[in-house]
Amino acid sequence: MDEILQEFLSETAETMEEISGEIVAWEADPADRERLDSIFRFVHTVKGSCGFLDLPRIGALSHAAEDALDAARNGRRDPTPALVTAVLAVIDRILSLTEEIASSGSEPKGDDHALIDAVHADESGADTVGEVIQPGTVIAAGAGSDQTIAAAQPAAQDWRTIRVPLNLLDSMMNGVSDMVLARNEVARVLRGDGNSGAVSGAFERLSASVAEMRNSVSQMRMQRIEKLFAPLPRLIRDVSNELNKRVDVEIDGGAVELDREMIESIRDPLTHIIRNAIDHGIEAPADRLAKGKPEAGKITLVACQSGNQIIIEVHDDGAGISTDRLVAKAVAAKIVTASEARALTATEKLNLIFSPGLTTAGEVTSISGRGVGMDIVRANIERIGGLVDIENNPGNGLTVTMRVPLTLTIISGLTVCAADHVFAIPRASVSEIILQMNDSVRIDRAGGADIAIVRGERLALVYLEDVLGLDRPDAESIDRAIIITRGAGGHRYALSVADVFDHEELVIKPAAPAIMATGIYAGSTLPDNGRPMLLLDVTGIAERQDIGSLGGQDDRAAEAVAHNDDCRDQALLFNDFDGAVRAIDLAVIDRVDEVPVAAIRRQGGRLRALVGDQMIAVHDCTIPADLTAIKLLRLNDGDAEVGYAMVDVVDVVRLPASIAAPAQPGLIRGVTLIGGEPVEVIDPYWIFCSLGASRPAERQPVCRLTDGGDHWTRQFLAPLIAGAGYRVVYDEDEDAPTADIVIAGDSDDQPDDMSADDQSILRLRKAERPSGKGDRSIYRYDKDAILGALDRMTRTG
Amino acid sequence: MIERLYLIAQLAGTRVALRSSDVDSVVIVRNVTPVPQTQPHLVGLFALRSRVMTLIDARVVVGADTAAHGADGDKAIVVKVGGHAYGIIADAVEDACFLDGEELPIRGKLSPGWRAIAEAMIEHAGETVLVVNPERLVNPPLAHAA
Repeated sequence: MDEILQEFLSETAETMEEISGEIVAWEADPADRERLDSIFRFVHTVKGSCGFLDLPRIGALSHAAEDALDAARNGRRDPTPALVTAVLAVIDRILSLTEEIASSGSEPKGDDHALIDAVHADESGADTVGEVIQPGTVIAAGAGSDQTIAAAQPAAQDWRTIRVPLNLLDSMMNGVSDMVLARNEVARVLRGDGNSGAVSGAFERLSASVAEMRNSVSQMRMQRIEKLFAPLPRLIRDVSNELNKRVDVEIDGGAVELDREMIESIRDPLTHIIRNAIDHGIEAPADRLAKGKPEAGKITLVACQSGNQIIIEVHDDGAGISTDRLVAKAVAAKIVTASEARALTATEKLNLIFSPGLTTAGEVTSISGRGVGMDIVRANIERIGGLVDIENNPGNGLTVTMRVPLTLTIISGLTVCAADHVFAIPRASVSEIILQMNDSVRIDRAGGADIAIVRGERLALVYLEDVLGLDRPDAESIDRAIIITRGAGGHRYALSVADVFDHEELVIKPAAPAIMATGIYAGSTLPDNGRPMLLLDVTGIAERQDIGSLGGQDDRAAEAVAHNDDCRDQALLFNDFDGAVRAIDLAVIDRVDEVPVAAIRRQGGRLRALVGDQMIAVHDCTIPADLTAIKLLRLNDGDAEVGYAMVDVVDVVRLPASIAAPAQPGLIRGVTLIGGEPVEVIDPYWIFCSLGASRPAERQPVCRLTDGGDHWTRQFLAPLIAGAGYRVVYDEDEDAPTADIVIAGDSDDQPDDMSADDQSILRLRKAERPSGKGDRSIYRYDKDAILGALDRMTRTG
Repeated sequence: MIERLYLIAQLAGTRVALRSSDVDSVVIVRNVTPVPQTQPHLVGLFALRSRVMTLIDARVVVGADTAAHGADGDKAIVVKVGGHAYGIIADAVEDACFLDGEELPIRGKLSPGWRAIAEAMIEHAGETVLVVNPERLVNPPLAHAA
């Protein structure tokens, strides 16, 4: 094919993708002159090129669009939705024509009158209608095209580039991989031979340049994530128009770079998540107004890099997921039984969305809800070594977070061994490695299950040999290593292996489908010794061993106890930004980091700090402008981590037993006297709750606690209830709203205003076992049962 | 003409023909890594330069053996199925030749294992051999894999 034509086609296709986002932005804000100008320049350039390339159809189409846009530029026409749709249709037709030219080599015959008429449809005056399709006009315009082409490529020229076919790039990547392996083989031979210094010197140089080359080839494959995001505004506009919804879109982080193959793998899942958000998440405009939300929904797309991971977050402010409906669907679809469903925790219920064959849509629409759903999204993301998380906020929206490795090809891995087999584990999923002999580890066996107790934390223990069906030597006789890792739903568990060897960079490729189907392996890799190695899928192992519930049952209670033993009642005193000295429970602080102010940014509507390679949600605060660095308290509840920013640490003190409760539950848990000065004590639970962004207080069900003076009620129960989305009031509170539910201890007196068998009273007992047959009370550390009961009572009451 | 080119090899002690369009190459296997807990006909993984391939034991697929075996030095026929490369262990690779005869429908009662992987019969050097589809060797019907 003609070289000029080839150039025109690839350039047009590329600009086209960028431009569709611009058009939607322009529709949202017709006064945006810059956008209008760039769209105009694009069609003008296309029209100009058509003149000397002899492409009459594209020429007529671009000329019509140019006319209409020029009229809009001069204020002769208003950019109505009809005009924008017509211009988009023209641009789509131009794109499909260029694709046909690319495959067949010449412009196909056809009629574009309908589209051209549509562009001129609501134009007043007949002065331009006649000349649209006169070929003379089109060809004449070609004369001035040189200048416009130059003008249409703004700052892009400050970086000199050439086009390279992708398959050439891929074959180069494979070539370099082979070269690295050959180098390693030579290195082995040289080591064995006792060679001369001259050879090894030369080999060192060769080796270094091979490494350098491998590095630059990897970089060549990197692309800005913009490429993935650019077509999305158009997609969102089309889908929301079809559903008669209004959706605004906000995109942040387009400059993040990602491996080309990764971008391709994320495209479909991302599109699916966005379609879901518009179809199931965002409510119809009338419903939104009724709920007190702005008429137009909002979808926020954020990408950021965190260490060797890219985090892509899709947030919508729609209705969120109704877990009750989700569970009902799952039961109807026979994914879980009704009794299993009752035993699920809130997170497990939410995770049902990932079950195959499940959709939350009430009915199947043309957009989504055909039963091909989040399970495919998760499978696709996990196939490339990523993770999908859902943060549900019923009534207020949904956040889907995808974490994917920076490149498909290289991860940092740990090699472990079990019964003479060697495997790799992704370093990112290992949180700790301990030798089994270590004093802080105890191994118990209860009811056929192995349990590792590590510094007071009780973890399900899995022997890798058992998972793989291999012979396990007597566990006591040799020194094994325990790897603490995270399974499904974020539950930690312990994986026991015979030995841990090494830490290396591994090139991971997907293994054959039959091997991936076992659920034990995440891929294969070829280390330098030339013997293939399998990468273990720690999440899959946890699922296969079915230890989710065992590991997670009383994680929090166990950890709380473990912490309390060490540092009961100790508090950290610190200077807050408003000059006040405040205190916070030392037990919840993981560590304190110094963080530059530049690393704290407002993204997706909340503050986030970039610490090392982690993004941490930070409690909302105003950082004084004159500070360049702050101290970040990193708080951990055993599951999640959040940050609290402050000026600096003052001291660690013993917290007095008497803490005066505040007027309202909030960030301040109470006030106490330290060193003769009143100090506000921060409630870490409130920080976790508020970063979970619960429902506004006035729409939360009210839960009354009968014994507000009891330490346990205030410190343990109240935060749990508030965290689950209930508004907590105490008996002692004056002018508290009427309670939907009352929670009382098993020995407490019957509240005056309630009868003994009232359905809205929940009794908690201290003993683990019920006292007798009629005892309907719930063990007070059975968190899931308490929340489940509250949930049922709110709905029936 | 090229569609008449066949690779004649011995799989599981039986002479078979593979269509040359299905076959990538024939290699000697080194450094096999076993894969625990997977289907019985998968021997493990091996590497050819920088490519990792999955090794298949045809004896298990046809029911001549219950557990997969493979060792350094085995010959394997490399095939591509679904974008992944596999090696099928061959007792011997005899010839690559053009066969003039047509592929004929299967006559006679094959053992279930062979019925699962054979697609046709063809005449080679005065002898009837089965034409085997490597895709079915890689993903044998469930009843047999289990």
